[in-house]
Amino acid sequence: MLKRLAPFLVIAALVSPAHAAAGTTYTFATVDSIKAYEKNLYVTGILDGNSTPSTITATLTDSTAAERCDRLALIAMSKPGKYAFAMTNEWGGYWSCSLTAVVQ
Amino acid sequence: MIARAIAIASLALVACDLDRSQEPADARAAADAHVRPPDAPIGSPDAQEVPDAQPDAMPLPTDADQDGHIAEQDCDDHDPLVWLSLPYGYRDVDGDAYFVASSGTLCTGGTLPAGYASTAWSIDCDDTDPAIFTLRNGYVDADGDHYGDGAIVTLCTNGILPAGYAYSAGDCAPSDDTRWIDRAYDYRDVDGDKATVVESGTICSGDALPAGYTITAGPLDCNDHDPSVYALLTIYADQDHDGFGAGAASQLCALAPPTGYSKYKTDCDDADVTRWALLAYVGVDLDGDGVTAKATGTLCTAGALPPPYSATLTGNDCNDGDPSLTHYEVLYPDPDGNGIGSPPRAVMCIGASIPAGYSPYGWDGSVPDDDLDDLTIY
Repeated sequence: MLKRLAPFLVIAALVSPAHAAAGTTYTFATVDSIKAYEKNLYVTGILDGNSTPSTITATLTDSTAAERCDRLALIAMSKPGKYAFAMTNEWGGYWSCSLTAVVQ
Repeated sequence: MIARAIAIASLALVACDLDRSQEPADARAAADAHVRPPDAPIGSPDAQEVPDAQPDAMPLPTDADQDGHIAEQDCDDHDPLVWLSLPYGYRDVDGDAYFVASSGTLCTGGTLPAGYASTAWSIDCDDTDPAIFTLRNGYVDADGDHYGDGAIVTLCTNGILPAGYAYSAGDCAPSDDTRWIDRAYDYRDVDGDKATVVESGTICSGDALPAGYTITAGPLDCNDHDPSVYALLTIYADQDHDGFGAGAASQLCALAPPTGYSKYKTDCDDADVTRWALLAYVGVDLDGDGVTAKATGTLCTAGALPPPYSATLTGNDCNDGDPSLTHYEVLYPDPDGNGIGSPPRAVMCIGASIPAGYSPYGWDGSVPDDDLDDLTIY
């Protein structure tokens, strides 16, 4: 399952969401809720390796980028365990989102 | 003019002869015997003037050297090259075109000859030596470094001071040709280790400051008499002799700390030789399953964190007291055993395997995949 993901994702998930350090990837085992507001995206769920839900807040470059991310999060939310949704705080202050199918 | 003078003289002679024609013949002959022959030189015995038999007779103007100047107007009627007496005020005996004051008159050919002058522009300081002619001031330069010493001296020269003299005074080392001028310095480096101490003054030098003196600061030398050391060493007491000290700092001018001291102050336990480095850890692995649980703190170590402490995290052990449980997993009840569970989920602390009756997938009974087609990603 999620153990099959790259190890750095596991480590990144342990970082406190309150400290969204540059270069950090937050991988969700589950996505519980999504909130999009203009360029801001709020995703709540259980980060991989954690036992309790966390909320990651990302400010993307524009609302279009936020829409791309919230759709990926929605897919992960619709099929719990099938996808790993990740948000990365890239160097330079940009955020990226990714959706990866979990190998069964 | 000369011809006219001769004609006048001839007429006078004729007149005299007319007067004398009244004299007896013997008397005239006696008188003629004392007349100087025309070609007789002046001063010759034959030319001695004899009182004329007739006192009122006019003497004939003569020009013995035939230079066109009668004897009365010729300063030397025996030399046809000179006739005019000229005054002079300067002489140049040695012929170096520099003159000395010396006045007199000279029978000349119209102008003063070489070596005489009525005025002089250049005064000779030694008219006996053509090689020297002008005065120069200098100082005795015994060592030949072009800086002299002592009182100023004036020399008769050829325009340049001779060897052994210099134009400049103030040689600070008159007998050492490598040093001649005082130069200022701001730092000393006695031991030559390129580190300096602050000390200013002047030192007798040559073209540059001698070794050991400089105007450029180097690193501060704590011992300028020992080239092997220059930097102050900050040291700390090392009671357990593990190479790491602790406590208050002290300073020593040395290459290495003495026994019982260390230049490191990081000994976290200076009474225990086996521990000296305080290290931070962020995780522990108490059950030894290779997965850490978060725990932060510091530990006094021998340079490396011992188990179960770790400076990095490996996973997130959900139960660090049981090596069979390593991580949290979000699981979904799967009562029908088809491998796909359904909510409500459970976050369980598990090991390598999924507990029976649970699945990591939670969409059983959810919307089919086709229903996701309208979630176009763009």
